[in-house]
Amino acid sequence: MSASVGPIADQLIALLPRLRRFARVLISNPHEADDLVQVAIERATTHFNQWRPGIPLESWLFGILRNAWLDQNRARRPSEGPMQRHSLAAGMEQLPEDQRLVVALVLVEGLAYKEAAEVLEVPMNTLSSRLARARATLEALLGGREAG
Amino acid sequence: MTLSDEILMAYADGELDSEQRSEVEAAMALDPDIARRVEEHRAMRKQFSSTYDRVLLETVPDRLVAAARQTSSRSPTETVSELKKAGATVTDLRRVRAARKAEAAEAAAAVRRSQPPRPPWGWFEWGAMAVSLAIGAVFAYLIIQSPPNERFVTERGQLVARADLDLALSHQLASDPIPASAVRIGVSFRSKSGNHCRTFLVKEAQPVGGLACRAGGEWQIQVLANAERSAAPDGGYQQIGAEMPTAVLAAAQNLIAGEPFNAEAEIAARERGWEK
Repeated sequence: MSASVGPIADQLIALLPRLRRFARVLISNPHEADDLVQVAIERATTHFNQWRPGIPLESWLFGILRNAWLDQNRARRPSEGPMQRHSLAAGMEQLPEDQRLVVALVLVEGLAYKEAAEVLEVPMNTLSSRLARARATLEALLGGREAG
Repeated sequence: MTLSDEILMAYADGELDSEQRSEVEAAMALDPDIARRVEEHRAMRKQFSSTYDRVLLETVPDRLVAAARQTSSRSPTETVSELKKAGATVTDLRRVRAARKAEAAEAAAAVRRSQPPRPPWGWFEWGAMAVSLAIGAVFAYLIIQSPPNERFVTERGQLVARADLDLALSHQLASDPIPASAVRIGVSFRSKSGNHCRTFLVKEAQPVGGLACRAGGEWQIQVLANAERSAAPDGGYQQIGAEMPTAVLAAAQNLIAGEPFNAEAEIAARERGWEK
């Protein structure tokens, strides 16, 4: 038995912190990351008749944000503002897009492989191998430094 | 036995079934190199948490909340025709960016204008509350001097809500709980001095319950206490699995003017931004 779910706006608001974190993994500049979240929210509110309540709302939103990011990258501009100094964020900037997405969904947002694969619309073994490659790249870039 | 990095990562990520887990654990016991690789994967996961989780505690910009609230007034079929009428071009990144810059310029200008002083919490109310609370309740508040995280910030001697607690107090309804939220709203009411107050529970390793009242444009925490975990959670706090602390209930009882808000009154108060 489940608690009653709030109207969609309330659920969206509650998910804003996670969406902002997801965007910040993809875009290190906080203002630009928030711009991406805003575009994603606007697309979601326009198209929410396409959301089927059987899909978790956050999966649907992550998918929208990912598509908006990929669209944005087609007209790629150098990012404004200072780069984060933390070595992990700098390493993330060097990953190719598809590896960055798997890292963001699995290692930051904590989605299970199955959920992440659904968001990205890839088979699970593709997800798993991309994740392995991403981690190997990051471990090499960070020089095998231990977590601080 | 060499196990692929992929399998070890999947193990570190909790993705393997119990049979596969046993195999990996057996290999880890026999080969310290395998154990080391698993530990490296776990360490990287922790590194990600420490780098990015702090974003969750940041104040969410108003423009994002406003964008999310656009859903409440739309039904699916209205949405597209509404937008066409308004001539809106959604998803235009340039427009969003320009709007954000204009907003930032206006906010900077507003800051340069004189800021109204924050009204301190009413002395009458605090005095009345301190007298009415059991000694244990007052101590409960004093014990939580160093709050567990950035949800609670001291400003000019007053504890205020920040991060997702601030967001939840401003937007969540007790009548419509949000499974995704770490905050559960208890009751909302008007205090004897006319401020809006709300009780809340925060889901943590150690759950806390509290009472916050809206004053000076923020949620001022009046009471904060450790919450007992309930073994059989009652229906109202099922998501948190904790009970509202007695100290909070007592404070609410002493502060309340009239009845707790029903769903309609809650929504109306929210629409007014919880201002007096």
